[in-house]
Amino acid sequence: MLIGLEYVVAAYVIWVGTFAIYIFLTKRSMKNADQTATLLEQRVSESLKKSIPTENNENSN
Amino acid sequence: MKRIILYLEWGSILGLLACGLWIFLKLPLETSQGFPQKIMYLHVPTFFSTYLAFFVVFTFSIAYLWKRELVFDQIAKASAEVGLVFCALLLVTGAIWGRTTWGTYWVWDARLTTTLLLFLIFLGYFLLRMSVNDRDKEARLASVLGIIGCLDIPIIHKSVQWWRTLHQPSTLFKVESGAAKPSMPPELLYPLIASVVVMLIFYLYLLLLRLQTEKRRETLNELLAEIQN
Repeated sequence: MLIGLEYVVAAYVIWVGTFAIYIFLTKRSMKNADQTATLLEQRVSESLKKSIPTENNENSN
Repeated sequence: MKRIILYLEWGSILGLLACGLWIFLKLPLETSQGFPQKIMYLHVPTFFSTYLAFFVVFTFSIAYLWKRELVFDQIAKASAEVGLVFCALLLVTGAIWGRTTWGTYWVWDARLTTTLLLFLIFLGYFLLRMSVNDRDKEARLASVLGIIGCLDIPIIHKSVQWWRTLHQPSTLFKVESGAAKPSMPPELLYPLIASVVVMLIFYLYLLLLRLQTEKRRETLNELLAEIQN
């Protein structure tokens, strides 16, 4: 049995584990931001489409 | 950009794996410290990445205050976050290594205390960013704090020479009669240099990944502001 093996394992596991969680959270945050932006853009374009005919109708009246 | 991030991701993962195999399967055991000396291949490269991350913060904070371009602040913010993670791991791996060599996890030694101070300054850097609502003001104040925080790095580096410390002096940058002479045999030195290079690539990958996220969040905030107006 190697002396101090548990310390080496602990150091490497903490290091790898921390970055694995950090990368996962960063990627998830990027994905969420992307999805929300796409959704908002869709809603904005939909509301613009709806508002244009209304304005035309108002003008014709 | 996406392709560069992908190359860096796989390059650093494969590089880290290769270094791990080299360190654990090929390297001989160091005589004085034994197996815990392997922590050095994690601790020292983490220290280099921390320095680089905060040096990037320093450079881009100055650039932001000078040019007032938002992208400079985004780079500084992304690098500060990655640097903070590296700094936390630097303290943790150092404490574990310290337990095996000094018999204690922590001592209020000059090197350790100034590194903890750096970590706390950058923790404050993010608290400051969270507490300010105005984007320009946030970037301005964070840049000033980022520059001040980075002034701790030369103190950390010189602490082992200025004060009597438990932490060992520099081995990689040891200079004898005007020439660089690392106090380490080549079979231990080469994997360390390889680990440092791979870790710097890994830092670059994390920086670009975090920067992409920051840009998308910024776009989202602009979109929300547009809708509210």
